[in-house]
Order: sequence, then C-alpha cells, then structure tokens
Amino acid sequence: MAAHWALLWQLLRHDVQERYVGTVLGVFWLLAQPLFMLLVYALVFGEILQVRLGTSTETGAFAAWLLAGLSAFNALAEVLTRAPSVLIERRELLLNSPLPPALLPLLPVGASLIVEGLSVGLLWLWLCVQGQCQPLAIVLYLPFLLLRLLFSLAFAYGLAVLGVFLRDLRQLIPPLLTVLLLVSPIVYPMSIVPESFQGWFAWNPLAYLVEGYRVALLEGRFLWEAFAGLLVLASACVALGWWLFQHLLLRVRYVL
Amino acid sequence: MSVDWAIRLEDAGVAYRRYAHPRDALLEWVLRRPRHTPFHALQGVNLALPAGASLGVVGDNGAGKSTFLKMLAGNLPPTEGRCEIRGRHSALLELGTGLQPAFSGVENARLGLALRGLSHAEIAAKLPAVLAFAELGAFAQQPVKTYSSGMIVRLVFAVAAVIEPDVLIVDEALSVGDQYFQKKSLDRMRAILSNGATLVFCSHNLYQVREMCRQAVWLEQGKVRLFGDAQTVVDAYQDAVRARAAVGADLPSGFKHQQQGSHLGLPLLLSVTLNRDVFQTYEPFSIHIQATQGNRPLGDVHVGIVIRRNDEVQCYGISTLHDGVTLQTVGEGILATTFSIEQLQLLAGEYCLEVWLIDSSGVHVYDSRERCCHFRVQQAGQHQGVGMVALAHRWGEVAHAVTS
Repeated sequence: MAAHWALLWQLLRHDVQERYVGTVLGVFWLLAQPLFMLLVYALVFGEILQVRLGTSTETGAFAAWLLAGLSAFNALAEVLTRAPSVLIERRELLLNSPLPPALLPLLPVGASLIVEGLSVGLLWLWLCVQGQCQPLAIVLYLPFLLLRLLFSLAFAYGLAVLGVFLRDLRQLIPPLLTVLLLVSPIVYPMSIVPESFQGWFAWNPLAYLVEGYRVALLEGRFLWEAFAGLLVLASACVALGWWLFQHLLLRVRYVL
Repeated sequence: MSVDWAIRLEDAGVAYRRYAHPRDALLEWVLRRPRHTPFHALQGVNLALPAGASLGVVGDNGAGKSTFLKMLAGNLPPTEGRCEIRGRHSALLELGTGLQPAFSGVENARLGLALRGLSHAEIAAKLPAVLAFAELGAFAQQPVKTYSSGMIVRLVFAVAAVIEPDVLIVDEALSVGDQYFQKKSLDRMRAILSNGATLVFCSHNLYQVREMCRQAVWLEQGKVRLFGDAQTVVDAYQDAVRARAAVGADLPSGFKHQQQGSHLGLPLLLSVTLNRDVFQTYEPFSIHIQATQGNRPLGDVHVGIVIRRNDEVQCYGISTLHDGVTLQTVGEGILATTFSIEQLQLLAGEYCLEVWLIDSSGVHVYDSRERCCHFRVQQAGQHQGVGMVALAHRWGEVAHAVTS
C-alpha cells in the first residue's frame, strides 16, 4: 500500500509537471484559468446582466457566491476533460510496466483536488479578509468535497475505459461541459429561473452539489437532505464506474 | 503442494485479440458477439522454477519470448492458465519501454523504483545507488529523450538490478551496452543469483545464456519446444538454426550419389559407414569407406573426406592423397580404408560427411557422396569450451608475474 502511494505520488507529480513545464505561471495555471473565467462570469452576469442574489447588491458577494459554485464545477470539469484520454496518454506505462492500471484514473482526480484546493483556499482567504468567514465552513464543506470526489472517481473510471474505445468522447466532453454549466444554477441563482422550468432543475444532481458547497462555505450550514441523496447517487455511480473499468480493462489492452 | 518455487506457470498463455477498430472491442462486449481475430502469442506454458534457479529463454524473433517475459514481469496478465511469481520481481524489458522521455534520468529512476513497489523512504535510500551504478554523470538531470541507447540501458538496468529483487527478468536489451557495462551488468546478475534470487534471462547471445543459466526454455511459435538443462536446450536450438540456415542457403540437401562413370570402368564409392551416429566429445570416431577400383591402378584411387557442420561450415577435410596413404584391397576390385580419430575434438552440434573418390592429381573426381552419414556430437558441458572444436591448449605461467 505504501508502495502504491509512492507510485501514485510520482505519477501525479509527473502529470502536473508535464502540463506546465516551461510555462511562467507553472502550477498556478491550475488557478489562473478558473480565476479568469470567474472574472468573466462576474463581469457578464453580475455587472452587465445584473443578476442579483436575493437582497444583496454587491458584486463582491456575487463573486464569492460564483467562486464557491465554480470550485465544484471546475474540479469536476477537470476530471471529465482528462479522464477519457488518461489511459491513452499513459499507454506506454500501462502496457510496458507492472503499473496497477487502477491508479491511472486517479491522476485527473488528484489534479482536480489541487484545482479545488487552490480555489476553495482562495475563497476562504477572501471571506476571511472580508470578515465573513464562517468558523465551521471548512468542516461542513468536507462532506460535499467527498461527494464531489466520489462523482469524480465514478466518471474517471468509467470514462477512462470508454475513452479508449470511443475516441470521439474526448471531443464531445468540452461542449457537454458548457451545456452542463449553463443548465445548472452555477453562474446564475435558482431564483431567476422561471417557475415552469424549476421542475426540470430539480432533477439536476449538480444543482444540489453546488448548493451544498455554497451553503457550507458561505453560510456555514449543512444541507442534510442534499447530502444523503447525493451520497446514495454517488455511491451507485462509483460502483458503476468501477464495474465498467474492471470489465473493460482487459479489452483496453487489445486496442491501445 | 510444496512451496519451494519462485515462478510457477500452469498452462499459461496469452492470446491477443485484434480488432478492426477500437470501438469493436466495446461493441463485442455489449452485443456478446465476437468481432475479433484471436492471436495466440503464447500457449500452454508449464514451468516451475525453484528459488535460486536461472532460466534462459531462447527462440526466434516472434516466437513469444517477449510476451513470455512480459507475462512474468506482470506487465501482461495471462489470458489462460496461471502465472505466479513469489517475491519482489524486477524486469528489464525491451529498451526504453516504460520510460517517460520528457523527464530526467533521476525522475525516471524514481518512477521506475516506485513501479517496482518501493515506498518513498526506500526510493530515497536506493536512488543514489541507482545513479552510481548507471554512471550517467551530469546526464542524470537531463531528459531521457536526449540519451543514447547505451545510456538508456544503463539507467534501466541500474533501476532493475539495484533493488535486489527476488526474481530478476532481463531481456535482450543488455546487448546494447558497451563491453564495460555488459560485463558490469552480467557480474551484477551473477551476484544477484548468488544471493539466492531467481533469474530469467533472454538473449540471442547463446553463449551468455549457457553461461548464466542452468536451465533453459526454447520457445517456438508461442509454445515450449524444449525445456531442460541449458546446455541441451541451447544445443538443440543451435542445431535447428544451423539446419535452417543451410536449407536457406539453397545447397543440395540429402544424399547425393553421383554415378558419372560407372559404365566407363571408373572407380565408384560403395559404402561409407560411421562407427556410430551420436558421439561425445573426445570419444573415438571412425569412418569405414569401400570403393570399387574400376580400371584404374591402385595408386590412382584416393579417398577424401570432409566433416561439415549442418550450417555448411567445413570443420576438417583431408584425403589419403595428401596423407600419402594407399587404399587396401579387400576383395576382387574392392578397395577399403578406415579413417579414425582417437579423440574426437568436435564440440556439440550436428554434422555430416562428404566423401570424395579422387585421382592422384587431386583434381578429377570419380565419385562423391555429399551430406551423408549425419551424426551428432554432444559435449559434457561448457567446461569443454564453446565453438566448433576443442583446441589443444594450456594456460601457462606468466614470465614476469608480480606477486602481491
């Protein structure tokens, strides 16, 4: 087990280094990219479209609210984008070394943890500077992080094997992510969604996850119902993802 | 069941599936209908090696050697049967595979050690030894893509061997290194073996296989052709390669009996017989030859013989003409002679004879038999030497030896 940790650590280090080798910002690109998008969303939705959260009129509060939601979304997006190609990229190691294949899908999950850590850390700092930080926020946020990780694992394992057979998957993911972002209450609050559409939104698990993040981080409350429901769903997804991975792994070797 | 084994293969095999397109592999799984062509790279391998054994792997390209080693190394799970290895194993397979070209030698060494199951602390402890063994100098910090093949093999071997595995698996790759490193790595392999580890060694250098290994397995078309004592297996493999090389050279094969002059009253060969057809090195060897005299005087009929190995190498040839010997008359118009060697100096291999009936000028050939009397020589072991013949020799005192 200790050996697997050492191996995973080496792989993760290489994975991150490889992506940012030679860049000026290095690992901080992991943060710079989401921050830039945050700025764009805050400007477009907060300033131009004048999206408001209940009574608050402050753009700063809107930005913090956005960042809490985007932290979860960006981390998931990182996994969904990378997972379909993770086995293809590490083909060499997979076929020519005694590497346990189940470690590879953990790489995008590990990277997403870094993305989220940086992002939530920044939010926490921002809130503290503003004097709005809730003492229990981080503790209450951790169970939702766990949920996010479970969903990430499910997609990482499932997409990793499917991506080998269906090479188009890699191209499909980015547009799907854009759709997912726009149909979820991430860059706008549920309150501005018309009544007739709210029924549809109730089916979106991402909406509950993002809500859980926000309530924990910004208000210091814990959404029990959302957590319980998502835990059941996430566990089922992990089981499915792992099952797919186990059943398709042997076939992956034939076509890699 | 005794637990006294380090490697155990039970009916182990690897079958690859070839798909026209990657998605076929998924469709096949969903629809439960075959969409592949199978390819058996390795089939029905049964082996059990005790700890401390050394197994050589020989065979032609494409015989399944790499698949066999990959399976042992754990890179490739067997699709049939079982493949079990006890203890920490470390493999040095095809050159450069499993390396990350963009990363430095040090980073690759770390990854290599982690892949072999070492923890953080163990990696930190072993890394200096790996770098010292690889002797990469300042290149250790450079990306591996800038390395020469010799440097890559040094790095990879250092990683594979420094961790003192229980089972060490070494492929062809070593032959890339220079003489100095080859010796160093072979010494290292011997040291690992003498510590009780098990070695699996694959090389086209059959001499090295015989030197390093007590046992050997000969793979042919994905199956075990022969498994046993290294000397026997390597000899058998070598014989097969030589035989094929000879056929490939498109030379007349089999027994050829020329009867160019029987009706002219010219001498003809009647029989060529060997005292046996399997010899041990240094055993007595004799050929009995009978011929008709025809209408030639006794002094104008001579016999020449050539011993050929089955790869067409002439081992030795001599004639009664050159030795100044006259054939004996054993009956009405029948001549005979015996060629004998008290201690046959030939080493292991398959051989045959060529017998010529020539005139006293040595130019005209009355009759000949080519590639007849096939025989085999077995040698007791490597201590009798390698090559074609055992040459008489002695190791002498050095004139100006310095006693330390």
